[in-house]
Amino acid sequence: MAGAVTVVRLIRLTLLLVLLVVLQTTIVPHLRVAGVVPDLGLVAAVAMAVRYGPELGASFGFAAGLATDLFLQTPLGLAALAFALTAYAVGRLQNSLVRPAWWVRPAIGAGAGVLAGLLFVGFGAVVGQDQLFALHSIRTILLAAVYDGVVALVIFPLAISVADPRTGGARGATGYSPS
Amino acid sequence: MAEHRSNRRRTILILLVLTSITLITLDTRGGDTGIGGTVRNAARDAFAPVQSGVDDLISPIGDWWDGVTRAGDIKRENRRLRRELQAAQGQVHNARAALREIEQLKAIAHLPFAPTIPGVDAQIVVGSPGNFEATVSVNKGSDDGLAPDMPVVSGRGLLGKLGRVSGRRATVVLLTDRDSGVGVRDVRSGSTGAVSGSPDARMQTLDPFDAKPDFKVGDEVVTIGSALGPFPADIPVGRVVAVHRRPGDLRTNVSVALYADATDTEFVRILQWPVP
Repeated sequence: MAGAVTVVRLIRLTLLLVLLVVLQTTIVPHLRVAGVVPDLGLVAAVAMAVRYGPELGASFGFAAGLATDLFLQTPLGLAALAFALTAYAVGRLQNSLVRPAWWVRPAIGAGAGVLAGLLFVGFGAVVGQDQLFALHSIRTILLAAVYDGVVALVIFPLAISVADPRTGGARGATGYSPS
Repeated sequence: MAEHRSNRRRTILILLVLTSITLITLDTRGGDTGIGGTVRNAARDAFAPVQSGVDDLISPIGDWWDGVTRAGDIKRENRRLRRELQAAQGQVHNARAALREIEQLKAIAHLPFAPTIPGVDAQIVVGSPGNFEATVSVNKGSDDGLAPDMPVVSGRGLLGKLGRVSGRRATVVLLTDRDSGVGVRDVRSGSTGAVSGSPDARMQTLDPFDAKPDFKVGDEVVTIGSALGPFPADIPVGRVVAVHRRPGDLRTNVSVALYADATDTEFVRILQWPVP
């Protein structure tokens, strides 16, 4: 059954998660452009949500967000909540993607970046992170979303391949498949 | 079947949301001593060797990326170097980087301010992995005697204060972070105010405390400080670069250029303040 989480698949997803966290906390901070960095875990979660459904996307988004939270000053669970909700929402929209084109992945990555950024700032303000609720955050969200869109070109194929319920990664699965 | 799948999706989402909210609540209330803080500190320490190793490996790539993203500055610098030295640019860059490191080390070894306060020297390892905070990580932690809220200085002045601290890593919350603020005093006039963080601005905003403040362009501002305050007194913070007061305005707008800049700083000193 497509989407089933087997032990092998779980191991592959865990290794992908560790790889993305290592990249996010070591290399990505050096690749800051205009003051922003991409959220690799978010983009990977969204890729899985689009291809394999909102359950897997939300679960991976939660795990990736929680791992990112470990290295931030903001409360533990804030990025986890934002990533999980974003991946779930994008996964729910997968059926409306009827004409996939090359620009769809960057567009989804960027759109997810905007949504996740707004959720992060919004929930952050609710739990006492008032400094996030500023006009400057909008600029940060938009720039980071563009960066998310760019890295989606690389992260989408990687995440979809790793999360493929059948080893091999090139065979079909449910959901959106780019032509 | 479709309804069952929809219910399952909803259940998973609700579980994830509830778990997130529980974690946020526990972490907000527990701070660094709670479950969240313990897990976070363990994860940071576990990643510390990985971060250090990868940082050593990719530093040249980071330098190259800096060059790509600051092409204008690099081009100008290259032209000047060609005229002056006519030597290999790579060697010049390496020599300059080494000299800069030595100068920074000398500067923090002979700080002209806070001479009586013990400190721990540390190296900046990596910047923040996120977009909504201006922080850097240093290669020292609570094992070296560091604790949250300790002031962090470079050879030029105040850089920020410590945020979360694990055994072998500490996060420096920079003065440019939106959550930062420091009380300052004009060295010339004695006027006081608060410099608040703004991550994008080259200049930070100074909100005067006095009804009729006396700040002038070029004035140096230092920390106000007190025995129980968050910062010791008289640490250089920056220089006043603009003072505006439009007719009818109730307040004076003062802009300050900070002395310390994390982007060109590699070594810092964490002041053990209050003195243990």
